[in-house]
Amino acid sequence: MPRFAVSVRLAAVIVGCVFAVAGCEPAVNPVQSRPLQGTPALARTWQVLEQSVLLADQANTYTARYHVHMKRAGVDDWWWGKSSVQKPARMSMYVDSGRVAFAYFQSGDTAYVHDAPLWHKTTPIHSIDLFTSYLQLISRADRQHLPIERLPRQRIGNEYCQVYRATLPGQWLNPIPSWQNYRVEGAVGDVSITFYVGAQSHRLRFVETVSASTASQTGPSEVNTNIEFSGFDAPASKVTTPPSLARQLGRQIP
Amino acid sequence: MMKWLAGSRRNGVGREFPVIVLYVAWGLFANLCILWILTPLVQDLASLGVFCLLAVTGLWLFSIPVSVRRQWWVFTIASILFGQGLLQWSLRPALHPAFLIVLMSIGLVVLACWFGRIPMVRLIAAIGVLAVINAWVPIRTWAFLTHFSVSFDAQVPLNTAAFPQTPLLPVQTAGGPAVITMENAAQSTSVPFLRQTYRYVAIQRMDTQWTVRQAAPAQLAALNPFDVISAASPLYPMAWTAKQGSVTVSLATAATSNDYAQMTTSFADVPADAAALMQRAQDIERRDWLRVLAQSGVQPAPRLQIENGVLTGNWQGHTLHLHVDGNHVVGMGSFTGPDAHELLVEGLDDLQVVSLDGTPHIVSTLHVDLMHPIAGNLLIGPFSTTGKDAVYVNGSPSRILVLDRSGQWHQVYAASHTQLRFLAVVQFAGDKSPEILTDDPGDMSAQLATDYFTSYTWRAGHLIRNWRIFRTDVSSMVPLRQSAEGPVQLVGILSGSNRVIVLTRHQLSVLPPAVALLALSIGAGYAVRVWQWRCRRRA
Repeated sequence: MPRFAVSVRLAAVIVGCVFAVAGCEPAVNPVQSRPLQGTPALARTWQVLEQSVLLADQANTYTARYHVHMKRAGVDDWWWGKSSVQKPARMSMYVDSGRVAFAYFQSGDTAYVHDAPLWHKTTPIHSIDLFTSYLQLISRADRQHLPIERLPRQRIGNEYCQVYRATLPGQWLNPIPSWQNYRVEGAVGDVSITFYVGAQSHRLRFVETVSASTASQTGPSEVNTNIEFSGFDAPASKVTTPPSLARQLGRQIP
Repeated sequence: MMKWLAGSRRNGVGREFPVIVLYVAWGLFANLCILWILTPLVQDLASLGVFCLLAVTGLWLFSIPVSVRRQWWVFTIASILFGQGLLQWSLRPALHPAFLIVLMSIGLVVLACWFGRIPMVRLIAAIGVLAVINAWVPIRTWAFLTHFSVSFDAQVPLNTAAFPQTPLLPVQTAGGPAVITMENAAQSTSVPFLRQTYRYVAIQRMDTQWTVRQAAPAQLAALNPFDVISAASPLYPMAWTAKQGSVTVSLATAATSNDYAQMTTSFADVPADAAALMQRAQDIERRDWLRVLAQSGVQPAPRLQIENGVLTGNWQGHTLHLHVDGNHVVGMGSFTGPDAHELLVEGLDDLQVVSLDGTPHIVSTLHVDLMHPIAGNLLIGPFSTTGKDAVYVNGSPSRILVLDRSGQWHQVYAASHTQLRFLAVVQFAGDKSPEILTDDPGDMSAQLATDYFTSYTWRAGHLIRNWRIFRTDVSSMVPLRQSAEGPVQLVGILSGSNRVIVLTRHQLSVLPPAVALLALSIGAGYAVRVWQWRCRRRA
């Protein structure tokens, strides 16, 4: 009898516990902790950042991986991609938006886009330097003595990075030429931009932004971007003619 | 008694019938337990839930007297497998379900009868009753039955590549309230999304029946044009065609591969590209939408709107003209006190409340934290029992903002993780306080991207959980009231299976009795075992 008494008692306890955890007990959803606070950085920080971009830009080859996320009431849009740059004028790229994916290749003033199943000739891009847009922003911020703060260092890829965060005015940014006609004053809010500079390489390794963009009469979209630079002067970053393009043309593009 | 249960062929028809009823009831109950109690344990409590599941299963297994254990165990598993089969196949409409269900039934009956030595009649009766009940109240909706009755459930196929989130836009016309959504105009799903056409359908109650029918031009005219435009991505803008009283939609590409390549080489400027894309979509699509409405013979309903920083429109016979910071009217609410008529206006980095009582004026402006933009995903809903409305912000993280009488904003709540999303705030009949319906991850699995349909109430400075329905596919919910006094019903979209569902809240306590019944059945099993053991000792 005692054996059964024990198992019956045990059964009652476990069933009681299950009753308690099966959603019958009210659960409290906890409130969030404070966001990360930074400390004001030294006055020369913008110059340090400028140097890090110039140093990164000295590499003959490099790779960038990037991600864009636009969040709105009904629609979540994103696209990501990977570019390899080989100076002076070679670039390959792959972009995927979940719905459309394509490959792009440019060498000198010839450019091809892979619109499956074939490659088509397209207009080449004027400047393939991925650092130019950052260099322009940093120089302008330096000239205007924009405040910048330092955050705890973080690891990006194979090295630890110094992390700096600043807020840039949205009107400093310009859309690409095809959409210049749709540029409206005040359509981009302040941009929170965070730079990650390699502690050993002293190169710009990672940049992320958080901001909101809007049209003149619709609600805003949250736009988050990040880009990681790697493979500086690494053989893997060399840009070769994509095999399917070489097959289609019957030759390599010099 | 055990011999009677074990099912020897000596049972007469009169004695066999109650046993069949017992088997059928247990088959049904086992399926309910799986959906309502045991799967949720694992989904909510992760590894601790697995431990609980093992403990309950072990307890249950050993509560069954040895003589019928194998039979009872095999029968339970067969019933659960059959129920899960019905559930899975109803969620995958691409397969041919009837043939597969027959195949599954034969396989299960043969296996269970051979391995569990269960009389075939009982098993066939149990799965037969399950199949009939599934045809009447589909098992895929059982998870909702703990807190809702399912008033309507229909498939509205829509290509998710074109519209990742199915739009649900409530409208009020002379024909009654309705929710407008979209579906593929052609049944074929193999056509690429850019070459497919889509059409608007209205989900509404006609007399006593819920229906999904082609949306009338008057219903489309009642929609806010900016809500219509926002249903699609600015990267794939919409174009409309009016044909024989119906409006169809097709999508185009806004960005060429060359545009993407240019955006990449000037990556720091992407926020400006996004703004230009949105402006492009707004300019082109709004013009096209107004054109198609005119072609359909309707005019867009007048509404309050902001043009060049000026709020214009008509409010209770008065013409409005007020300078505001924002550019988008989110909606109407009572933010500073009950019965106040106030408008919530949203800008890039601020929220403004405009009072329409007396001379229109700005009551308050809130500047939004730059690191946590508000991103156009705001819900206005009742806040606790104050009679006031709060702003429910779906951001990263989601927050609740309330305004006091003096025009001061208070952030009363911020989620502890970035996944909580507010779906609707509804005061159901019988509720003291409004229920805040959310999509929210399990307590111990907040890092996993699995969000469940959950209800909270704001009480004593906290969100207190009322209940959680372990469905990950509830992507949007719109409350709808047929008349001013009528009950609120929820019109929702189940993503993945592309189903529209209409839920009516009931206040029956379903889960505790189910747990009690499971505990009782386990307890009864042990009682029988004690009794058997005593009989054996006496003998």
